Amino acid sequence: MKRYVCIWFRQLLCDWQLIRRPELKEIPFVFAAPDHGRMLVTAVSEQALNFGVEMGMRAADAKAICPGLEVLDDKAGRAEKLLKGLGEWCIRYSPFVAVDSFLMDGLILEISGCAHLWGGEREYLKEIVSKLKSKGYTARMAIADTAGAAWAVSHYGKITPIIPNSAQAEALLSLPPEALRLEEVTLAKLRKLGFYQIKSFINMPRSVLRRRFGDDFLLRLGQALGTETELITPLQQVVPFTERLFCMEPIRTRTAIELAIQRLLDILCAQLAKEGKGLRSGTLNCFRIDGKAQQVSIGTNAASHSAGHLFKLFELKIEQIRPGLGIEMFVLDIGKVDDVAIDQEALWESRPGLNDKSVIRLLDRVAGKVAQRSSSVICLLRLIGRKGQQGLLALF
Amino acid sequence: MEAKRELIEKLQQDILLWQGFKALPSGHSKSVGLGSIEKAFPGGVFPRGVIHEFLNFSPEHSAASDGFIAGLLSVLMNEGAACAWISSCRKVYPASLKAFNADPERIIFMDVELEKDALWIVEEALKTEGLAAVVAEVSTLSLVESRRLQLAVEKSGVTGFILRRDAKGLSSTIATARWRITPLPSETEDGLPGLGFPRWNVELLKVRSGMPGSWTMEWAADQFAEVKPQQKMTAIDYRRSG
Repeated sequence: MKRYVCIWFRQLLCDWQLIRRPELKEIPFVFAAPDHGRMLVTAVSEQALNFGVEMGMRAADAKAICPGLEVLDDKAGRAEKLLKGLGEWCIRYSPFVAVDSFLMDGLILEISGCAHLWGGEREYLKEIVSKLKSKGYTARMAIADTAGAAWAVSHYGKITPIIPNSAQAEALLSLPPEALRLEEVTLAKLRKLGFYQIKSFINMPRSVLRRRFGDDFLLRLGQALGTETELITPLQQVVPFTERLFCMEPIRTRTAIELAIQRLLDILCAQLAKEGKGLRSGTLNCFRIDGKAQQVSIGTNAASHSAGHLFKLFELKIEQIRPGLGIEMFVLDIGKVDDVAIDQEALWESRPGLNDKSVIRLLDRVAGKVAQRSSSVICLLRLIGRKGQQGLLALF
Repeated sequence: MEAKRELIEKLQQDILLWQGFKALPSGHSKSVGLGSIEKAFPGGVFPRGVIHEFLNFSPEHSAASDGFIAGLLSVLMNEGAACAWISSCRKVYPASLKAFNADPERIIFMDVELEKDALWIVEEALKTEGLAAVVAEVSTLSLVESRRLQLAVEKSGVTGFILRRDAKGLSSTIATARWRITPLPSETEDGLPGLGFPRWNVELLKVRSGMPGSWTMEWAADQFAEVKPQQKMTAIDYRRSG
C-alpha cells in the first residue's frame, strides 16, 4: 500500500519574507502583484489578517483598512521556486518529492517504506514539522493512502493528520467539498445545492454526479478515494540504477577517466544483467574540485548491458569532458532501462538483418559520434520502411 | 610432373591467402551472377570481404555505378542481411533500388555532412559483422585511409564498395578491384519500340592477382546478362540507326 504525505505551507511567501527580514514581525505586510492595471494582494501576513485584509483585495483598499501596511512586490514564479527549494530539502525524507501543482502552496511526498526509519508515522510527521518550524515555516501535514486524501486532510482536516490504511473515505466525510481540489464553477454549484460536506454526496450514484458535475469532479473524488490513479511528477526522477566512484586524487587524464568509466560500467552492467535489464540512456556526471559538474550522455537503440559496447559509446564522448583542475567524483546514472531479450547462442553464422546486434551497436556508435557535432549539422539516419514510406530511425 | 603442378597450385593458393583472399566456406561460394567477369578474379570467384573501388567522374557515371552496385547488393543481401549506404552527398533515390531487386528497407542510409565523419562511419560499418555490404560515396580516398578500410574488412568479412569522385588527384589505393562503370544506350529486342534493358560498359581497370578487362553487361530479367560483342551496338551505330 502506498502512503502519501501532503505538506501545506499556509503562509509560504510571508514566512519566507520573515526569515529574510525578521524586523517585519510586528508590522502587517502584504504581497501584491499588478493585474489589469491595479495592484492585487496575493499573500497576507498574520498581522495583516487581523486587520481584515484578504487575498485578492486591491492593495489600495487594504491600505485603507490597515494603516501602516507594508506592500511588497510579488514576482511571478517565486512561490514555485521556493517550493522547489523546500522540495529538494525534503528529499532527505523520501526520494519521491513533488510540488503540489493544484494551488502551488505545498509539497507531496510518497513515503511508502520511509516512515519506519524515523520510528513510525507520528514521529516522522513531528520531525518534518518541527524541522520546518525551526527554519521559520509553518506547515500543516497529513498522511494518507492517496495524495488526494492527504491534500484534503492537510488543508481542511480538524481531527487527526494521520489517516490509517484504507480509511480515507471516512476521513473525507466531514470535510467540505473544497477539500477535493475542484474547480470554482463546480464548487459554486455544490454550494448552491446545499452540499456543504462530502458525506452529503459521496454515496450518490456516479451517473448522477457525472451528469451534474462532469468527469473532472468524479476524477478528483476518485483520486481522493484511491479508485483513480493520480500521476505525480517528482522533482527529481528516481534513478533506478546509479553508481558513484570517488577518486583519491583529482583526475585529469583521459586514461584515468576511461578507467573510472570502465569500473562504473562493470558494476552497473553486472547489476543490470542480474535483473535482465539493459541500458537505453545513461548519463555520466563528473564533479570537479572547483564545484562545477561536467555531464555526458549516451543512448542506445536497443537495451544493452554489455560493458564493452557501452564503454565504446562513452569513449566517443570523453573528449567533451573538461576536467579543469581535476575530477573528484564520477556518478553514472542509468536513466532509462528496458528488458533485454536474451539471445540464444547460434551454432552457425546467420545474417539476421537489421535486428542484428552488431548492426544496432553500429547505429548506437554512429548516433553518439555524429550527435557530438553541433546541432547545425544536418544529419539524418533514415530507415526506409516497408511499403516504401520513409521512417525516421534517428534524427540528430 | 604431377607433383610439381600440385606444388605450384599450392603456392598460388598460399599467395592468394597472403594477399587477403580467403577461401569462402563451401556454402557461400555462390556466384554473384556476373558471368564471365567473375573469371577475371583470382580463383574465378567474385571476392567478398574486400574493398571494391568504383570511379565516377561525372553524374551519369555515378548513376551507372549505383545501378550496378544495386544489382550486386541484390545478391549479397539475399539472405535477409542488412547493408549500409554512407554518403555525404547522396543522389540515389532509395525506392529506385527496387528496380535492381535490392530491398531498400534493409539498407541503412546514413547521410552526414562532413567527409571526415563519413569515413569514420565507413570504417565502423566495415567492422560490423552483421552487415552484408557497405556502400560509401566519398570524394577522396588516400592510401592510408584505404589501408584502414582494408584492415577493417579483413577482420569482419564485409564487402565494401567505395565510390570515388575525384578525377584530379586519383591516388592509388589498396582496393582489390578498381571498376569503372559507364552507361551505354540500351537496345530493344528485335527493333521493338521503347527502351531496352539498362546497359553498362563495365571496365575492370585493376584487379589484384587477376585479369583486368572490359565487358558489356545489362540488367535483364532481374539478373546480370552479358552482351556478346557481335550483338553489341556502339554509340555511333545507335546514332546512325536512330
